[in-house]
Amino acid sequence: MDDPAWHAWYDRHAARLLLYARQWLADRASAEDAVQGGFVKVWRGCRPGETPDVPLLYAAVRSEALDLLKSRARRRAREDRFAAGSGDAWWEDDPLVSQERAAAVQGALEQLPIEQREAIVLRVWSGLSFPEIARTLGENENTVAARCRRGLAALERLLPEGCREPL
Amino acid sequence: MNRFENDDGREEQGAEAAEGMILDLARLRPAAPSLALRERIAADLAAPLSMETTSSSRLPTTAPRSFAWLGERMLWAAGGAIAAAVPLLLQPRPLPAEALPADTNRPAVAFDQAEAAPRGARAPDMPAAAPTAIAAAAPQGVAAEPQGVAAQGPFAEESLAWSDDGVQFIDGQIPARVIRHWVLERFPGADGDGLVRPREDVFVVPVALR
Repeated sequence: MDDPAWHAWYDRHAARLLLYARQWLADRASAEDAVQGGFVKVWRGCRPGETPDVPLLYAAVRSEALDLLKSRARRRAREDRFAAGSGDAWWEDDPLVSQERAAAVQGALEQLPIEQREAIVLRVWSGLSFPEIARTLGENENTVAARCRRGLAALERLLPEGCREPL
Repeated sequence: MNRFENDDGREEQGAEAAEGMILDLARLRPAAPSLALRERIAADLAAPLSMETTSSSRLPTTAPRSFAWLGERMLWAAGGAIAAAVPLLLQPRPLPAEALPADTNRPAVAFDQAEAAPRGARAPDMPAAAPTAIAAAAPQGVAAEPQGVAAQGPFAEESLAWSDDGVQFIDGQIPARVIRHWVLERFPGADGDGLVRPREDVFVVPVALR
């Protein structure tokens, strides 16, 4: 089933899905495993000519990430916790963006509760609407909006003084 | 609802600031996955479902896991049932039905016959009841025994059980205590194997009611 259509989908969503998976799995390889599992499952469930539902795709990756996190929790509990300064950046190198601030944003995100963090990631970097985020997480729209709002407020507080200006 | 609203639908004062922050943060572009990830996904999608995937360890299988707990519990339950059944199956089986009296609670039988053919007190271990008269009923099935065997008489007897049927009124008038005794008779057989048959003795002991 090497449908070329999935390549376009992959190009559009892979980096976002990877960032989302990394909210649970600190190491890049594990996060890629979660993306692989979720992507393949959802794409296999599509009929020919059909494209996957975006919230379903994120939900599948989330499920894979949680499964991987559980299976590796015992032996790698410490490693899979979020550790700032791991050297594995979440962002592409961009000359227009201060690397210091990019690292600060990652560090601040890692300190947020997972509920707020995943809502922010889905809203900001995946570009999902609140109804789509609600479908992804199986939550109420108001709930995810509140989480996002509180998370952004906390993120702003957590950013160092010199990194609060716009990027 | 893409704006930040609270549960009452009122727009937050900082909604615009939050939207601005979202736009600002979105300028950070997520890092791309490795090139190998695309190849792995392509291999998975190209492989038939049964041969999936680059490695089975990469894709967590959720469906079997969801029923694993049930299978494990059923296995434990079956093990417990087997462990409980084994002692029951290993218990010694009771004697065959034909070797035992069919009904120990049935009423006294053949009083007339018992009184007509008394055998006398020949049960030394009979419960002490101060019998004034003891009678024995001919066991059922005697008529069907082989010719010549009954005439020889049993060469051995084995006491099986006693039963006290309590005081009954013979002919509706004479109070008597009825006691039954089941005996296993062993007869010498012509071929040397011998025969075994049960016998029921009925002891009718007249009593005086005060």
